[in-house]
Amino acid sequence: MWRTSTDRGRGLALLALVAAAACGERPHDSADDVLRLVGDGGSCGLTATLGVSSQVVDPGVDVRISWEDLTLDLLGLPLAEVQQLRLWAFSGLGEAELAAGLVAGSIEQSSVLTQYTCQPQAQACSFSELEVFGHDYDVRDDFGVLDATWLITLHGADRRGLQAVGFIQPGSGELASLDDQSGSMSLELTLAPALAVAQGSGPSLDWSGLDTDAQGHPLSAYRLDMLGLFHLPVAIDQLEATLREQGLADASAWWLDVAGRDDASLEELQGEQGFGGIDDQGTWLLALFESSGVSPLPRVLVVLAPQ
Amino acid sequence: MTYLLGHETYEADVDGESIAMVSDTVIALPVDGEPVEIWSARESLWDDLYPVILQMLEQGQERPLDWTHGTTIAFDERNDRLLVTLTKANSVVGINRLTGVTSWVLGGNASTLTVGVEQGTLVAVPHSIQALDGSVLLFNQQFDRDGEHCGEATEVALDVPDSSASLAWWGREPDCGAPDIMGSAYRMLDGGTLMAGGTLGRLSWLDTQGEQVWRLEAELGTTFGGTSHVADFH
Repeated sequence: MWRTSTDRGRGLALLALVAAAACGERPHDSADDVLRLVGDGGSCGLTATLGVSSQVVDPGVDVRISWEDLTLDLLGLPLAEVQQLRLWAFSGLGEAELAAGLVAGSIEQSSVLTQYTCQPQAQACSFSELEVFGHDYDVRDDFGVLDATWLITLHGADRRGLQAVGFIQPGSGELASLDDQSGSMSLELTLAPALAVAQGSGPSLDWSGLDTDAQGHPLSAYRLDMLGLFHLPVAIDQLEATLREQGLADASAWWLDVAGRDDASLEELQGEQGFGGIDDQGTWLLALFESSGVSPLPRVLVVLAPQ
Repeated sequence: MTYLLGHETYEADVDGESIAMVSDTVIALPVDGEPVEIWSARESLWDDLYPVILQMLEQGQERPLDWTHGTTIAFDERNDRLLVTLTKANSVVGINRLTGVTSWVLGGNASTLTVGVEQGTLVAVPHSIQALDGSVLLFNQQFDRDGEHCGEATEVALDVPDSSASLAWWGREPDCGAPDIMGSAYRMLDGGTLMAGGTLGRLSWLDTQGEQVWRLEAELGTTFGGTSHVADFH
């Protein structure tokens, strides 16, 4: 659900809203040009199938985990600068359960036996560089000893969240390499009616009223900390197939760090290309992310209908 | 006055070898004035813990050798003492707030309080301490009881004049675990105890009988380092 600022007492505007919704497009309030996202925000339904490769490495050596050949994140966007590598040991969860649980956001911290982190200086971390909350515990004391499923996650700088995943198992080998084939994600979109917005610089957004995410989970709006706008060169009727087959690989992307905020103007967005405003070409997607989470999916994904 | 748990790094002579060390201090921070160190583990506990230091060095623990690893400081208003948990020393310490003199030590090689043999140890990798009336509540991160190795809230009755201590109460989760890092126990006004499970990502409410009333299981990536009571939200 969503509402515009006209919901607050303007009967005529409400009538117009209902009529527009019946046409499949929902206008925002042109009076103050604020698009207010309420409830699930009119988000599309979004799930994914995450495939994660597994590599075998020797528990007795200083294994090097490298991502020099990784260029794309799990959504198919250019890889962000990796700020942190995490190595997790999970108890009671197999690789398939973990992959599904990451996407669904259903894994609880209590299933973690131990977790190591590394702040990489280059595109690699070695076992000897891993630490646990600042403690120099040796992962080799655990890896190959604990009955665990071991997951590598890469997390982006500037609140770009989960970028890549891979499993490792004890065996032989001194290198674990994450590349564009290590993790693959097929997005399953359930299209919701597009939200009508004016062409050009677009509306201001207010997401303080969101309480449900794209998977139907409860959502606290204050935890959303990254806003993304994506422009895909496909018609809306091709959107579901495009996302399923290649994610956002062909999208132009603009980002805004919104930590601590619940509103923003699209004019604040930054990208490799300057943001020239919204037009009626292709398909525009608006996404809100929770970068501190360990899910690659946006919490909210809205299709815009420029008019 | 504000009191802080700090640490100092130094070189110390161990069996004729100079070894880099780090250990804990308590700093008094006046509202107007310079901070003053009123207590240090090096001055108060070195001799008693020297065998432990040797053992740590034999185990090849990293340098500087963190032989106390202080984790929390609390105020015991009834007795005007500062309470400190020294995790690696397996000890909790009561310090006279005005003089900086160690009043008592519970647990580990430096313990000044005697515990009945039948009670075994009462301190095991302590990560929080709260002063109660005649007792202290600890979060023992790695406690063995009845064949289970778990994080535990342990209340210890203190009789400082008699130099003795005894188990007053304990509580743990039914399917408990031992966190890698952090964790705390806090006695609430109604007598219940709120336990933070550190890297287990759990919060648990235990009633006065030690039974779990509810538990919050947090999502992946969440750690609860500690909890305390806030009187009001506005």
